[in-house]
Amino acid sequence: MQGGGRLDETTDPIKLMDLPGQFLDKIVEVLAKVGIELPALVLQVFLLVLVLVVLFVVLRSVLPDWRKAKLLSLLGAGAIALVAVGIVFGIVSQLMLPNRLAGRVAGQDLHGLTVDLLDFRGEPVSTSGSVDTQTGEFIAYYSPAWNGRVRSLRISSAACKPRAYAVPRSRLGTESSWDFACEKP
Amino acid sequence: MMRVIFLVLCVSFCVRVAEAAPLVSGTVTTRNGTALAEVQVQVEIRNVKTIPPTDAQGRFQFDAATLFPGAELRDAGGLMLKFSKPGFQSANKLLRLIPNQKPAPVAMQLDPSAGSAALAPSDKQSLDKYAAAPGGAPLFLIPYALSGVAAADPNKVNEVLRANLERVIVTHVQASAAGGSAAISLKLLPVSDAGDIDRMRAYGTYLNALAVISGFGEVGSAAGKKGTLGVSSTFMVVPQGDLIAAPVLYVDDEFPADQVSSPRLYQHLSKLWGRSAVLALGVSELRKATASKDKDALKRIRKYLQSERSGSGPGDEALVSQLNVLIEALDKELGK
Repeated sequence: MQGGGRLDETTDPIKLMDLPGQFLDKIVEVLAKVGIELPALVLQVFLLVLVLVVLFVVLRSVLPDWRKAKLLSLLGAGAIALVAVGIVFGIVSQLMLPNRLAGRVAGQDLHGLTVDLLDFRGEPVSTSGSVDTQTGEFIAYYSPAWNGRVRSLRISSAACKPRAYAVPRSRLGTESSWDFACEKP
Repeated sequence: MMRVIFLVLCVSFCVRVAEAAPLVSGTVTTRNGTALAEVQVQVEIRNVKTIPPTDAQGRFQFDAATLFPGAELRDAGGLMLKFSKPGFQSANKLLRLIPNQKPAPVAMQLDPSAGSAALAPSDKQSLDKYAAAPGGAPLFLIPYALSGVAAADPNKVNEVLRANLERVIVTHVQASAAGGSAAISLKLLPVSDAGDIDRMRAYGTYLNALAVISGFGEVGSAAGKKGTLGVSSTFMVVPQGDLIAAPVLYVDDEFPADQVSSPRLYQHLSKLWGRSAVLALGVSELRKATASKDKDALKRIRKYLQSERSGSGPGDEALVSQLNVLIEALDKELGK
């Protein structure tokens, strides 16, 4: 259960179910890089609407007599429909993500430590992150619908260098332990 | 029919709110058990809310339902309680919320920031096995810095000193009116900060000690002193109270250098050791008795401190002065 970031997200075949969500994450990431920064859910719904419009246009040209339609058009319509289903699946899977990450920081001195959940840009999205100074337990809350999936967890302290750990999707619903050794800045 | 449905809905809503609205209470103390008043307590879920500070007995209490919206509370995995007070290290405690179960009272301990903060995590780790259990109050000896003791192993000398000091202290405390309930012991710590007052205080506070002893020793080289080991010791009383600051006493001993390994060394040690231990016990017990308003205990403490004062002699001026302060504080508490 230690060091969640060391695990590879795509090694487990079951995790292929997460591919639509990962695809949406990529799109959100690309849009953010060109300066379009909107809540993840807004972008995903916008993308879904866009795909549905394209699908509607394609279906309008194909459906009147689909037997006579070209095979390429039919395949195109099918592919766009699959993308739409994938986006819906991705949104639903994102909405079903837990809205908090609970875990435990394992370290020698737990005083003054805080935990932040970071999005794909490395920006904090959690609203809390105090650490129990005796047990190292913490619960950090965030909104997966608005902030998208949490990508990493950062442990920081005034006297130590902050340290970030990757948070695979599979670890979001579990309580992991995160090692933290103080490294002077 | 509609009324019944409405009633059932109301009852079910009330039950849900009651389930998710725990009444949380607790106390904040130092490691020595002193109640800490005016500790700021904050409660965090998604947002941080501040509740009234602790009272004179270090108690706090709040109803989570009045602090957070019902939905936020029902969704919360726990409440993070954050404690802070100037001069103490801030501390957090995660209180897990279990449905249909009232949270157990929280017992929080704060460490003085100037004391235990000075200890590195590795120091704390090596000291943990020596820490006194709540209610216990052992004494600790930081090995003396000895010079000129070439004939014997300094570690062995320190162990002999510890054993002899323990004998002097235990014998005196048992013989005094303070004896009986007090379980006195003197343990040697694996550290080397002889004479460093700040470090002594830090170790003592972290270990929940009654007192910490350390000092220097040197084999005399002056004419007439040759072959004599002079030991200058610091006796630090660790427990503090509102009525008395933790006193520091200095004790000097002198004995033949060829007896530094002798089990009969205690015959040369000052009686001040035992009296200092009784003073430390008095400070510790006064604090507890004051908090619990136990008049009988206060009278008992006064009695044995008075007995120590009457038994003191020349060279005990510093101790007598501290005993006077303590007896005055007791008189104040007893309304004399």
